[in-house]
Amino acid sequence: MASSLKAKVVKVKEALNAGNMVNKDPDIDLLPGLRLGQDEALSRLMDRHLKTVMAIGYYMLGDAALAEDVAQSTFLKLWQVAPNWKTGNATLLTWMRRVATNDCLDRLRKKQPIYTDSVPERIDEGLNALEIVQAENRAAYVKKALRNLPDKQRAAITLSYYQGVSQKEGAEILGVGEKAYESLLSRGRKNLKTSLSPLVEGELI
Amino acid sequence: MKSLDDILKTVESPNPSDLLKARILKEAKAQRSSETPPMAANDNHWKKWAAIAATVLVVGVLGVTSLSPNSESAEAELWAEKAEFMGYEDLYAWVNDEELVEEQEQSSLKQNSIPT
Repeated sequence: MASSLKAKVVKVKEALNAGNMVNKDPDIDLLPGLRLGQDEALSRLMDRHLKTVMAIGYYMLGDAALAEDVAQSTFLKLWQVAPNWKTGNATLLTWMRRVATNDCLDRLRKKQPIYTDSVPERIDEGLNALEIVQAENRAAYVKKALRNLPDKQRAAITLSYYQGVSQKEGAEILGVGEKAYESLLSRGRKNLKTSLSPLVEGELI
Repeated sequence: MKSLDDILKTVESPNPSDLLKARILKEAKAQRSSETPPMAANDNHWKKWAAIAATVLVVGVLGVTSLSPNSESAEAELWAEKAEFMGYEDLYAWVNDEELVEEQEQSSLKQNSIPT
């Protein structure tokens, strides 16, 4: 009886600790400086996350210059809202990922007004099977496959594969439910496997 | 042949240019000196008040719509209960008595209002 009670208490403690871990923002130490408008705090935040935020732009838009624009816009938005930042909600990085992703989706929407959710065909833009397997062409081929994905599927692939976020955080960033995020991810994977079938070994889709 | 995970890793995001950080810091400094800060995008405080206001509104609307038609039926139910308890004859007699009293009051009022 006593041992089962003790086990329950341990479980509750573990759950509470897990909750604290989720809510704790690793960048909380920079928040006072950001609130006060100190350049040093912004500089340190960029040291930590500039590459990460820029990567979202790169994988979503496929262009380094545009990715830098996205990163700049994201950090400046954070700089604007920092004085009124409420702790306990989203972490700084999750918030920045959301802003960067939405920025990319907006840019893509403006660029491509007609949205299509159809499965992309295999890419045959002048690349033959021999060229595809060559390392220098492989990255270009994968980039094209990513570019052919519907925007939201590409966002889910970017967040899960290249940013390593959990499904819960990915869903939060895209503003969808976890099931919807899982579906985007699954369809993205399936479409990529179709596009990249010459490179992908016989994985089950 | 490789797995999808391995293949996706072949595309690597480039490092930010040296100028990007300086550009952002310069822009941030210019912004901070000229702007008043907007509400934090992660500030959900207003949602609590919006929820309270919406609840009050819904309760108010429900109260108005549900109370007014029911007031008549509630009165009818009271009459029915009273009738079962007293018997309908007594009820009619009671109503008639009240009507008589009202008529008498009205006639006395008329008499009083006649100018002398």
